[in-house]
Amino acid sequence: MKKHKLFFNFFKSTNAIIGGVIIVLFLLIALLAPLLAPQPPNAQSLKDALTPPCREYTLGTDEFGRSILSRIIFGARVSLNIALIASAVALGIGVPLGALAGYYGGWFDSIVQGLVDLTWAFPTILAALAIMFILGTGLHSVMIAVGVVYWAGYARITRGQFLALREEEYVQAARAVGASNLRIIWRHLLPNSLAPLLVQLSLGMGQVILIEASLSFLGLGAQPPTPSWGAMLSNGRAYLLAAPWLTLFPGLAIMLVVLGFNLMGDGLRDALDPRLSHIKR
Amino acid sequence: MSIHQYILKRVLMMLPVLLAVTIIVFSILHLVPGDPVRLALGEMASQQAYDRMRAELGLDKPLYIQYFSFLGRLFHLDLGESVIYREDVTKLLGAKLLNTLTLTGSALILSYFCAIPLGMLAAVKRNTVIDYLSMGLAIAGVSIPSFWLGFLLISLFSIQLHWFPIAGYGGIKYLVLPAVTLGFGGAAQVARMTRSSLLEVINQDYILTAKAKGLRYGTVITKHALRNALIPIVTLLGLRIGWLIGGAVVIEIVFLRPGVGRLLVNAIYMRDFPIVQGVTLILAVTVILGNLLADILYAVVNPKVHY
Repeated sequence: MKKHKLFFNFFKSTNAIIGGVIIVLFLLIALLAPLLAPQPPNAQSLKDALTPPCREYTLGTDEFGRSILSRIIFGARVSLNIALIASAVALGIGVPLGALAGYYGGWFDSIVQGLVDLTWAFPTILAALAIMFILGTGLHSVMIAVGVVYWAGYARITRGQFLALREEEYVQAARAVGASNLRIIWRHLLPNSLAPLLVQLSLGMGQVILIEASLSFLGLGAQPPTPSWGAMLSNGRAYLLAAPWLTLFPGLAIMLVVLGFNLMGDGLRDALDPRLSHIKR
Repeated sequence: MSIHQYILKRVLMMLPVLLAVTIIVFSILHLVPGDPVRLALGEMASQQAYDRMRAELGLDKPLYIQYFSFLGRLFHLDLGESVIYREDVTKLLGAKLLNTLTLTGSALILSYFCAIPLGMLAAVKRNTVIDYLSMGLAIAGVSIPSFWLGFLLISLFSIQLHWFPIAGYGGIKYLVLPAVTLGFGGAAQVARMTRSSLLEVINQDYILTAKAKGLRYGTVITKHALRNALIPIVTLLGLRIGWLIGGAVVIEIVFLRPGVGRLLVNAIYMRDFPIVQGVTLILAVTVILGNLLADILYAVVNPKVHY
């Protein structure tokens, strides 16, 4: 599909526009966090502990009197950082392996396919937990664990694309004029495989944020006092009755940003496959 | 090839994956940086305790012998002894695995029973408010962190309305909220899949023929369209099993249910590697068996599959 057509289809989808706006908003929040946050995220004021949403503290305070709004704003940095780095790790492992498997086939393809099946035998969170047992707790471990867990999806998609494209006429033409395998992969096959990878990336980033939030909720991800949405939910659990805002707003933030990625992924998929968009709306 | 031969073929294809899973689970112990025995017992442990544990784990033997001994013990359902609880891991896991499977099974049933009618309704009432609402709910469902949904449900149904207990383990009342929480995300995906799958089928010639014959619309949908639309939904079942088992780990913590999830998270904190190995192995095997069941079910419902 031509690039301008893809662009046009993408902007025809309401879902994609809403998703895109949400993501851009959160990116801006993350980038401008020091300017936007009304208080420093770790500044404690015990006399203001568990203050409900009010003029001074728009979204209330936690048990240490820290502003929930400021922590959510800085939490956006943590979540988006992890989503970016973990996805980069997953892409870095999955795309080269999938590309080589799809292009060369044979025993290497069988090995990669076996590894993909094996990775999928472990539920995502379980695999991430097992990797974190090895690496130890903390955000760096989360990035690596989640990246390692998600590589298989990218490998499968890249392999499928390469398998479908490797016998195309333009690839044969490139081969006929003496282009090396590396050049064919890098200059011809990879750019033509980017679109489905982009869809997977958008949907995958939402999932990465959910996994990070789950791991931080379990106390294995972000460690105090790092402002992480998952860890905020974990702390707020003890105050469900007395201070429900402790869990309400961080949860909403996670839902919104994941929704943004999901809507954008859906919009991209529809833009790539107009037949599907007809069915999906 | 008969269905029995097909099942046998699928079981045989599963064996290498199972073997690879055992290698990965075995490797966990050896991939932990530092001395796993020191990590488990702590720096203050006596040399005698240290030597005893090393001998128990067979860490003084070559790696391949350690693996075969691990595999041999697995055949006798021996997953070793917990470092912290000093109890047999198989015994510890037994009752808790049943709790986890009850939770995941209930969530699976609940999600399919709610999602299929919802997806059908959205497809039949396409581009109406009902469609927009149900699909809006579905996309929100895949975006909500399950543990947060658990908190919302606890706040509403336990704290405000007193309909269900906040947390704990007991009869069916204790199961409802965790099962709804766990099943919600899955239900959202199944509903979306049902809708798009049914919409694809609805426009096919045989459906138009059924309508032209004068059959009632409801009959056309339930008797003709749904059967074919169900095929991709059954495929999704295999993926859902893994997702639900993983999700149960977190939901058990939210609702303080005694399952393997809680056992695993505690074991990670306490560096109790026999439990980490045991839970990882058992859950991975459960997922593989679940996928096998889904594959067989797929072959049964899809007449196009050639055994």
